[in-house]
Amino acid sequence: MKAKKIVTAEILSNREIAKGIMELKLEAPEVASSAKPGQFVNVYTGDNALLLPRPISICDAEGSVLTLVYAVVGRGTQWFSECCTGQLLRVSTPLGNGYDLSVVKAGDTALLIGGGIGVCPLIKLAKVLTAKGVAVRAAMGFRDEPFLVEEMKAIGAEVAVATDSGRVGYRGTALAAAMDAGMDCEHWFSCGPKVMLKFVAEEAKRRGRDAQISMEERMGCGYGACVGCVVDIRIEGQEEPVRKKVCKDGPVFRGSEVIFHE
Amino acid sequence: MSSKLDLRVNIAGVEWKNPITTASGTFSPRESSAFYDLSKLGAVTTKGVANVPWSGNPTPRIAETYGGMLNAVGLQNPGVEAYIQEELPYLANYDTRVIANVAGHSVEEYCAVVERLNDTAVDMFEVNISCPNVKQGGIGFGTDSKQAGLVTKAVKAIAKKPVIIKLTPNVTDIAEIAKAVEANGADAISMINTLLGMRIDVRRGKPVLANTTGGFSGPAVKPVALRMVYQVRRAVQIPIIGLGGISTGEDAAEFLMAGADAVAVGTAALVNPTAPVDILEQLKGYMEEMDFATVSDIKNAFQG
Repeated sequence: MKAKKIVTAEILSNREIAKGIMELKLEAPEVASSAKPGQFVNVYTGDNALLLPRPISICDAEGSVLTLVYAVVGRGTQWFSECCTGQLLRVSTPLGNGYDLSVVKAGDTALLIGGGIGVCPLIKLAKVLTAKGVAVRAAMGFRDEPFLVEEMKAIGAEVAVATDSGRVGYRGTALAAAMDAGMDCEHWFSCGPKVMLKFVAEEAKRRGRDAQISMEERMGCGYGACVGCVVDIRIEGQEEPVRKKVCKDGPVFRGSEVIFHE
Repeated sequence: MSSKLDLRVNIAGVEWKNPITTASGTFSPRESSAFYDLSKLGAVTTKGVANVPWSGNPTPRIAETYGGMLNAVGLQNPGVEAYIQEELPYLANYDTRVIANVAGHSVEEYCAVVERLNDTAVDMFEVNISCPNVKQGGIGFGTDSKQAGLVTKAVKAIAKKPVIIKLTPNVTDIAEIAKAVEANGADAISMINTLLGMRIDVRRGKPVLANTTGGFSGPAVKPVALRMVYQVRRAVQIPIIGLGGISTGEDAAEFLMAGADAVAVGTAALVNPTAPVDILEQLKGYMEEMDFATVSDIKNAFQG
């Protein structure tokens, strides 16, 4: 039996949890059982005109249930949003490497910074870290309407919420909210827009930390064959950066190794 | 059930166990073999490899289109030395033919790669004179029959393995280019590379791809590819490896009837990683249904 495959999963629920944000629960034992925080899955639409799979980060995986939270941003995610309970969806087994948790031990503290739809993978991450005996602090930033905040609090994390509009919590970014609240920790983990990740990586560095950041890039295959999604990675002792695949070598990289281009 | 089927094909003196290979740029030995057994395929065609590492184009490199996609990867590759050290030993674990797709900016660069790979386990060379995403070389050679002939002649003069020339569809008369490469000694032709395309993000008022233009592939291009294979079959005698939007066993059969001797699966494998082996199984099913025993039976059944 091959390590990776595409499976068919039944939709248990698919509901809007905030404006334009959907939570999709799938009965997918093979996917859920092997899911690690920071990994993603390829989800297929049933519309042949929408050729490519949609890479969606794993929000949670418990028992046989896989939870994906996605923003409706284009025709593919619009198609997903119209799916109903009981319908079957094709989905890949987990892809990418996820966050490196080997560096974290019981008694450590971890700061999780998420921006927008980037808060999703932090749920599974917070669960795994908490189970390891790590104290989790989460800063969650949104444009206007927060989501997954209650889920994060239920895990036992100390949570700071920020909104660009100031409608809820701190007015500004998740990073600023975390720094204002003195939430600095030994380990930093982040997921969100590229510009946010750049500031997270820089702030972590100023504090002598090296953030683990989950990068996003337009993907073709999602499994490393097409080399469509690349990020420039600094290699120590080497002048020329190396272009690594976000889908296969990432999506999580060290903030210190990513070269951000404006 | 399929014991009476004989899928073997002979491409320029190299026997493949079946007529299916991968399309260059959509196949990675380690990544693809995580999904299926590479030994099931007649051949695997690896990503374009140059004499030195190429970093490719900036991102975004990928855009979806109606029933297809655009890519502007720009032949990012680790160079021929890394290919020899990392890819070839891994492929040695599998019982399949290895076709090395060769990239270059100049005749000298193509020849440098071929020379370096001459005494390796590579079974055939596929010379990419048709990539639309590199500014210098590539498609420049493939759109001019004189230039295409020159590259073919130079590579043939040093190659110790059969040479396949990969043609671009972005020309006025592809049959003319095919004749030129045949006349200069090409052992086979593979066709088609991607069609030059573009998309614009109308909300940002910018091209979707960082490279502005990219190569269009996927099911949407199949009729164009099929028509070109049909035309070239009537212009040259050498074997043709047909590709362009093949997603099912019946798509593969269409190319064989149009005049291809083997087929390559590309974009379909990006969508469904097991597509090459799925298509092989579907082709077998089609042959049984039609009472065809060999690939020649499929080809001979065409009455167009």
